[in-house]
Amino acid sequence: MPIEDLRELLAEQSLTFLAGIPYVYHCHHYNLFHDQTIDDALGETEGARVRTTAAHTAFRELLGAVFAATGATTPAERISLAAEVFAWMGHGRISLDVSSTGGRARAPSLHYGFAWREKYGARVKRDEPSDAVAAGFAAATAELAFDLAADAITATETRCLATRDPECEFALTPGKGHLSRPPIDEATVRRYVIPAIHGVDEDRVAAIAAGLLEFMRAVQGDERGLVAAFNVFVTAHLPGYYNETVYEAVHHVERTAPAGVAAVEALMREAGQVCVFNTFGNVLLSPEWEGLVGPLSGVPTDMMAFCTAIARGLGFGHWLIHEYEPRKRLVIQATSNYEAPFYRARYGVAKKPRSYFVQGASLAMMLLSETVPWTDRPQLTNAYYIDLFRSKPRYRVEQTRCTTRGDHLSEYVVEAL
Amino acid sequence: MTAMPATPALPEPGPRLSCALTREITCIRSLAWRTDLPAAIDWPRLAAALEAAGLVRRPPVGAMQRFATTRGDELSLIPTTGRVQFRVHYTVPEHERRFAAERLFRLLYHALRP
Amino acid sequence: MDRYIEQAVAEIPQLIGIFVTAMPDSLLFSSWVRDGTAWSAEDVAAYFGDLVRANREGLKALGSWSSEMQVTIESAESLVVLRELSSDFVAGCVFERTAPLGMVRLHLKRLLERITHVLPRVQAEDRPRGLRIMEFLDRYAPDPHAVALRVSLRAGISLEELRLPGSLTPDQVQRLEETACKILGVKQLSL
Repeated sequence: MPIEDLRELLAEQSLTFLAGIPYVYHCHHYNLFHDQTIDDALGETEGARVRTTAAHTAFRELLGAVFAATGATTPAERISLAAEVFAWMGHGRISLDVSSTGGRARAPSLHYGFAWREKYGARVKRDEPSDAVAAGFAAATAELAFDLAADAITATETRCLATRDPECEFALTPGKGHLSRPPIDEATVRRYVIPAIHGVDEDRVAAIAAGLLEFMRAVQGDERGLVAAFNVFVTAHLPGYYNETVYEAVHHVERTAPAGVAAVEALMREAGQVCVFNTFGNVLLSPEWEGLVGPLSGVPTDMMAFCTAIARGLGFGHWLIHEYEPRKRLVIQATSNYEAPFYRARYGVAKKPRSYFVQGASLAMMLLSETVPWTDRPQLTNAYYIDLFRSKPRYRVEQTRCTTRGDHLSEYVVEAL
Repeated sequence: MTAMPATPALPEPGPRLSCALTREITCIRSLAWRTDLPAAIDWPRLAAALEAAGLVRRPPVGAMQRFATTRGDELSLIPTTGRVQFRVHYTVPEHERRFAAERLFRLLYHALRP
Repeated sequence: MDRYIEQAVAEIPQLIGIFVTAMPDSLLFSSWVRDGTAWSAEDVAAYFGDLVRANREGLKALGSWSSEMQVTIESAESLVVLRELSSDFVAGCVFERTAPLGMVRLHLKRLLERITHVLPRVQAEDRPRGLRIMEFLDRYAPDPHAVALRVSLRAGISLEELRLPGSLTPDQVQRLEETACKILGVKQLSL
């Protein structure tokens, strides 16, 4: 069965699933910043452990569902299919040489290592490998190929493109084993969404989002297992990975260094800003956008509608514009997002709003819609990012309602300072 | 933005046309380049000339027509706006990307000749 | 000084920009750039200052440093010449790539002599190390927009305290420096 046939779309909620497991699209800017933030909060060693564990769990859920859906039963069949899924998602091409007690894996190109070297390689020397996601994937593949228990195999990256090795290598060894948790699948997600409601400019947003979702259906890894689209490297990624790493890191800081909570939450919001500035910005400036939607007008209400449509098109959930008064106030609501189902299923009801990604994204959408001179072909550089978010007009964002906290829907209010 | 000198004008009797290759500032350094053509040119003829020059037509994205070289470089045309984007394959080392873009630009220029 | 530089460069058509950097902090002292050039003079001056410092240390390690040394960079689009004017100032001149090297050297000699002549004598101020580390991070850290948050989280220094890096305690400065090294992937900071 082709991998594409395993995709499902919960259209009214703009949520996408592969073999019943949720997935979303994120670019290398977000992915690298996200991982960097996890390490900032936990330190390199613990950060790598948490990231690898999260990827391990997330890919066990996905691959288990894929193998069940396709009827893959033998180790060879499962290993081959898993590698194809990984490449299809844009994470890179990896070859595994494993048995029921471990083995090794090699990859000439992986999303994280390749993109890190492209983005930061000329500026920073890195000592630690960057591909915890691939390590977790390799461990999950080996376990499922031989019908082993969760965490029966542990994977560690020993060589990495980001540390200037010619390719990435992983050592797989026996693990300690632990009880697996129930997967966060489509049925779980459906428990934490409410019927979609219409927002401002709904018809236009919905039409563009549908076009983008259709376009994204054709996006898949190339011969190296990477996706270069919209001038960024894109991955189909597992919300389980993002969520587990974010919430484990934030909870750790809350427990061990409460004075650092403001900084870690601000960095998680910043990741949302990084995503909107880079991914949304590059989508808007791309020839693909011009071909699908037309040239940009630069009118704030248009740009806000476009940003909302892009969020839906990337599978982030049913975001809608509840209120928008240019230069003053924006209220984004979401009847679904990819953060809440995980939080509620894993941790229960939160005591405070926890949807950091959409908080940062909403603030960035305000600035992108109002301040960027789109018709002048702006250059989305680091310097421009700093200028955009530090200079006036300045805004603040507050999440006033959150489904992780038990509210009916999630709501993000952006107001001029 | 880095501009190359404008190409020589097309020979008569066709309309005079000049275009310049500029770098689009993107996240992946020096990967995307652009030029702009008048929307009124003969786009079907240009597309046919690009195919005749060895480029492979890829599925369109809305109004955007896409062509690729065997190495994976891409050339995208948007007839409704005249925008042309040259996207060098990401495996090309950064210092060679400019030259790869210039080769695509020359290819377009020759395809535009009557 | 700016007006003096403008007069001095008027006779060199292939010069695109000149930057005078005050050392040891790599801060812009004076600059001139040709109309239509959208460079950040502060950034360029800082990078040039750091480059000359790194070059000086490298040559010292080779045992071949002299105050007369000059760095020439031939990039695809420009020719850059960096030179120490005194222990307090560095000059960086950017020429069009097509400028003949011999002509560049000739112009440069005259130009730098005139600039050196009007440079003030300075008393280096011992600026707080915390402040210099934060400035260094602003220049070189990946994602500089997030660097204060990252430092705060990693070093356990509050954001309020980081807003006044010159007032950090010695222990905080040490943690700040260790964090900066980690973020930049270096063993020590070249300050």
